[in-house]
Amino acid sequence: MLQYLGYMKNLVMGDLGRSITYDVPISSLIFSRLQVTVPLAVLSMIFAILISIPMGIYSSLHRNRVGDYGIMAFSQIGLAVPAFWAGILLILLFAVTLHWLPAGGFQPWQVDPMRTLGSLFLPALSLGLVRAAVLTRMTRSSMLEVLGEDYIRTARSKGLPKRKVVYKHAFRNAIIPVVTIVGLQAGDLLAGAIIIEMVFHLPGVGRLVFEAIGQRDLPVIQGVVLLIAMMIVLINFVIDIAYRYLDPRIRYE
Amino acid sequence: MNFRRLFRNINFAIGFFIMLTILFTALLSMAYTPFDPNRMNLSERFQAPNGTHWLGTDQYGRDILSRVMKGAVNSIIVGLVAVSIGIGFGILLGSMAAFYKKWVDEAIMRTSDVLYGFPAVLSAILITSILGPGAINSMMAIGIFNIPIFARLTRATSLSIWERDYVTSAKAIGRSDAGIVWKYILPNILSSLIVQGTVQFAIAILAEAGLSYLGLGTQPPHASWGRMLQEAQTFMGTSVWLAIFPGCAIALAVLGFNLLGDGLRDILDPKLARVQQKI
Repeated sequence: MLQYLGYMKNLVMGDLGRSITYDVPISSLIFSRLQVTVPLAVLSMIFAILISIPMGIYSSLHRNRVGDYGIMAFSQIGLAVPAFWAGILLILLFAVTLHWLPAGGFQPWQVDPMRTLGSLFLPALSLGLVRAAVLTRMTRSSMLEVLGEDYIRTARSKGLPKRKVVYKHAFRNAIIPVVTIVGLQAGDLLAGAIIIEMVFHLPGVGRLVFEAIGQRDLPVIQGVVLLIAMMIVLINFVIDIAYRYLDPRIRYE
Repeated sequence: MNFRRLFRNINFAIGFFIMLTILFTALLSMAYTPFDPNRMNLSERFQAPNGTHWLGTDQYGRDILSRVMKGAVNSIIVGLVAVSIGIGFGILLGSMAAFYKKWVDEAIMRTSDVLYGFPAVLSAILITSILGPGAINSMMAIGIFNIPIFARLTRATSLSIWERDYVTSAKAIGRSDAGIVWKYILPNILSSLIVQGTVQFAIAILAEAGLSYLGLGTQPPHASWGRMLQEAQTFMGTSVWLAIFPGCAIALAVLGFNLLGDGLRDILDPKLARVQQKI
């Protein structure tokens, strides 16, 4: 009990203990690895949003047409492809065949930020593509529901241009469930990063926890698990705040 | 239910066909594979797909087609065991929560929330690392994280059924609680469980592939699609086929079970289908 209280006291001060394997403070170890994992997670979410939202909107506006079927097929395939295989295929295309991007490894931000972004591009894209499949389905169904509402018909009958109706009236209301899924995916993203970091040899938090498990470095595992739990809570908190800005009708007491 | 109605649903039809193909491949590989999937033949290593080795050979000269076929058995077994663990314990715990309510319900559901809220892949990695790598441990790890999903589903779907008149009548004529669950509750929640089971089957195949890729699942020399991809990564610059076929097999199997799940949901549970389309 005393040991636990001591751990909690140190935790509040930001002290997670020392790694058994590396013999360095765990907080600094995790911090250095976060410089890989956080940009990777953010970049993959940006990719997922940039791919899925236009596709979801297009699909909902062209329901039951060729484009819609194509996008739905993409989303079904995206759900079936494991992110690590998508990563391997992207390496094959962009690194092995075209030589446009590195096949793996990580350049520190301090050396050349553009090269760092380049080394995160493929891992983020492989994680983002799989997330995009879920978000595309979500955006489509959410948009379809909103497009069927009376106020959309009213807006159209008032003579508002279609673009304005879609983006100002429909999309604004359809985005809330999509944002919820983005938040829910954040936790999965951190876990999914473990395998992707192994595929691309990235020294991130996922690789750290995987190695720590193999080496039975319990303080590191404990620290990373705590960090993931905190990040999930933090992301959900940010999402809750985002609702307020996306839909002013939402009020928190 | 007539079969014509089932096969009118395009998702079900495609999913069923893919599932049948995977199942047939798995069964066939138990009796026959073109070559011994584990037999090394260094004089035939890195052969591109050809007339003898339809999908080529790997770095040890092993036939890829035979290994992909054997990998199907592995994936089907992992899916079956993981979903069975999830359904078995999930039904038990979900039914207990719905029947006893109060603190039993709270205890089961809050524990399930903790398990459910934590990223499943990370938890599976933790469990397999503690228990040791291997096919059986990876099945158990994936199965454990199916339990809260089925427990929540069982509880949610059976709560309203406990309030129905025919359940009250069964109680009045002295049927035991376990008998009521078996005779009246389970048949009513079965369709939801089947739909969820198919989806979880696909997720189990993906999870096993991920664990095997990390070296925590099926151990060499036994064939596993995830492990084959991990081994292929070193040589994919010169032997592309090594990284293509096992990945296609995973994607096809997962696609098949996902489509089957979608189709079954539309057919068996139209109400659920509408809700799922919204969320």
